[in-house]
Amino acid sequence: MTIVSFETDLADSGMLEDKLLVWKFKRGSADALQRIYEKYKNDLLALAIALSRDRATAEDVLHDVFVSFAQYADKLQLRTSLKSYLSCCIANRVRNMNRTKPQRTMQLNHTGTIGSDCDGPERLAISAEQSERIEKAMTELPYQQQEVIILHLQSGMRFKAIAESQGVSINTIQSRYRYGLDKLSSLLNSEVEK
Amino acid sequence: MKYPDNIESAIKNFCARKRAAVKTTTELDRRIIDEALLAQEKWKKTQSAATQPNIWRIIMKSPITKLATAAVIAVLVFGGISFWPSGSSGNGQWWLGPSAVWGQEIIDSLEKIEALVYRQRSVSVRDFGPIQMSRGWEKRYNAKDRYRRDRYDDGKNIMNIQWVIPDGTDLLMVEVSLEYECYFERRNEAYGFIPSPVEEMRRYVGLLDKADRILGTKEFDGQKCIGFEVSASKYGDNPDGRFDRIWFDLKTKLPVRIERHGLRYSFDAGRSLTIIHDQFEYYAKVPVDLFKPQIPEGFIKAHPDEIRAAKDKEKKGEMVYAGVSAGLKDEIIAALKKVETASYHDVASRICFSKNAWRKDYFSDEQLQRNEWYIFDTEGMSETGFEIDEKVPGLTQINVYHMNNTYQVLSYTADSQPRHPMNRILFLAGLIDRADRVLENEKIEGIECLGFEISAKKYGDNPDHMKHRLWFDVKTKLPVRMEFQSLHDNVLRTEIKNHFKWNPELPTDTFISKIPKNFNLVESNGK
Repeated sequence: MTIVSFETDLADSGMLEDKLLVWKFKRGSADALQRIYEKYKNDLLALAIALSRDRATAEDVLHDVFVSFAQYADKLQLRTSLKSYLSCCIANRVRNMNRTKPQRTMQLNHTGTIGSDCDGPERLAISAEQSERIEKAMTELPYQQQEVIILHLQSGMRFKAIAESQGVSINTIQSRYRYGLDKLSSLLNSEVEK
Repeated sequence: MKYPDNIESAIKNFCARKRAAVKTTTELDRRIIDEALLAQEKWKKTQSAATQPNIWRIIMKSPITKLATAAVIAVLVFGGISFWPSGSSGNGQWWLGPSAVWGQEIIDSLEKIEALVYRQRSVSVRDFGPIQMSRGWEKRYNAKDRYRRDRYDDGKNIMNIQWVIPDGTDLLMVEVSLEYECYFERRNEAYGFIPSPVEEMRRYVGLLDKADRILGTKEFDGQKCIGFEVSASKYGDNPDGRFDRIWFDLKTKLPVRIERHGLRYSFDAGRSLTIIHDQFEYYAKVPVDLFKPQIPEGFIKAHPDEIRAAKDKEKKGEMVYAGVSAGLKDEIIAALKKVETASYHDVASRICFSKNAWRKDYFSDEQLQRNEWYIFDTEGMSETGFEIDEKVPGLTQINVYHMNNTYQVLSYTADSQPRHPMNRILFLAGLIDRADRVLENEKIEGIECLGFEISAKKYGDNPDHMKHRLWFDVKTKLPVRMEFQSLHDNVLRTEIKNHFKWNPELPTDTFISKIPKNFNLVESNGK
């Protein structure tokens, strides 16, 4: 009778599912740590940039989060997905930096070019203009509202997970989200109607 | 240009485009990976340095500790978190010691588990009358990345199987209903994916510092256990009355039984549900074939609910809903749940009840024909009405026949007991949000009432022509009249319950059976 060997099955099939990655990582696997980094580095950097609005700060945040992640493997207890967990770490780190450092001004040039290869020049121009306006409008929002909008719409985190990570109720998070969107809508529309 | 109405979608697109444009540089990758790996190496060395022989001797008290890895020692060396009230662990009562130690032992042991097999059962807890273990149960086979669940709805045969297995980078869920001879698939982790029981156990262990009470020791399946009770409000947005119990084997310290109490039935308002996970087989050797979905030949691809709905529609026709608010139903149920005693008239009898007994007196031309007493054997039941012993109290029925001077004593086990009258009332009241129509307000027995008509086809396999009509006091929200209309041999029959008295003071001997001296015992069979 064949007995399931789950680790082998997964490795053979080439699928490194997060749970298995975490399982290996908690047992000290360097491969698992590197794989987790490779898998999420770009998304997490983008999140850090969106929250901090500064590429250099965002790189520091990503660095600190991963070094800390590696340092406390035994303390890792996932209640959400690995990606959500890491996104929370990024958000927490940015928030801590915001508390200790003066607010930085937006540095659009560092956030990279927006637009995909398949966009034509005209559409690209419109997108860039819209993006600039959205980005500017985002800076008008209180940080808590920006944060929940970015975590939800950019990182795909559920409100419940965001609420748990911040130790507030889901209603608070949903309210911040709704107020933020309302304000964005109002800011963007008032700007174009001028 | 007006900005897009769907601001959410616009921001989402903006975020997606931004995200796609961001890439780490090789230099950054190298910096982060090098330092993260260095940090990981340091952590590993710390772990390994902590495994000194003298520390091993201190903590290696039980066989399960041998499974615990260096994380335990790390907790000891660095102090850890002491989240349990002070107490002695020197008398063998390890659970009174700091749970930072034994809780971590359990967690570490759980982490080594590759596959876990266990049973799920449910218990109906009725507001009136006894608890009842469900006939159906499930056997679950959980591995780190897949599971299988076999449902034995009739208690004996597998009626439904569900598999969740990795498929590429996704998860595939396959469910086969042997009852409806169909199967369906979903490719979505959220769909039907039961939480990992090991993760659940870890969560409970993490909650032990918040436990409301230690339940003491108790034996389950020959294993002596220590139990903890935690209010469910401690870990989530759960209503009052929800609580969980987790029982650990005194020897292995592994969970033996997990109980989740106070889950509400969406359908039957008179019941709550307790889910029990037990018969855990740790380190189970599970045959690989068990995780391969098998669809019997000839089964059609459809969800069992679709087949059931189609069959219902064929048999029962379209369903009509009056749109009665769930809030009104909740008010009615809340009023009923405060009831301690009641009396009312049925077709041929006068009924009265308390929580643990009821009585029916049958009359013909105002002459007493028969008394029936139904009395639960509640001796040994706790005040909460539910200490999980799997010992369901029995019910004794005593009938006294005044026309021929005989009496009868019938004993029922949990499986065959007649229902407490209040359970029926609660069940019907719980249907009002499915009412076909709202009846016009009218005065019944001098009371202003609101009424509802509910087709009995809204539940079970009942045909189209059976109807319930229920009237409730506008002020108290308690029932004033209940009618059940059915068709027998083309003749419409209506059974009526009326003359309700809620919370009356009943004579103290109401539920003490009285058998006259010269009456003879007949057919007193156990059931």
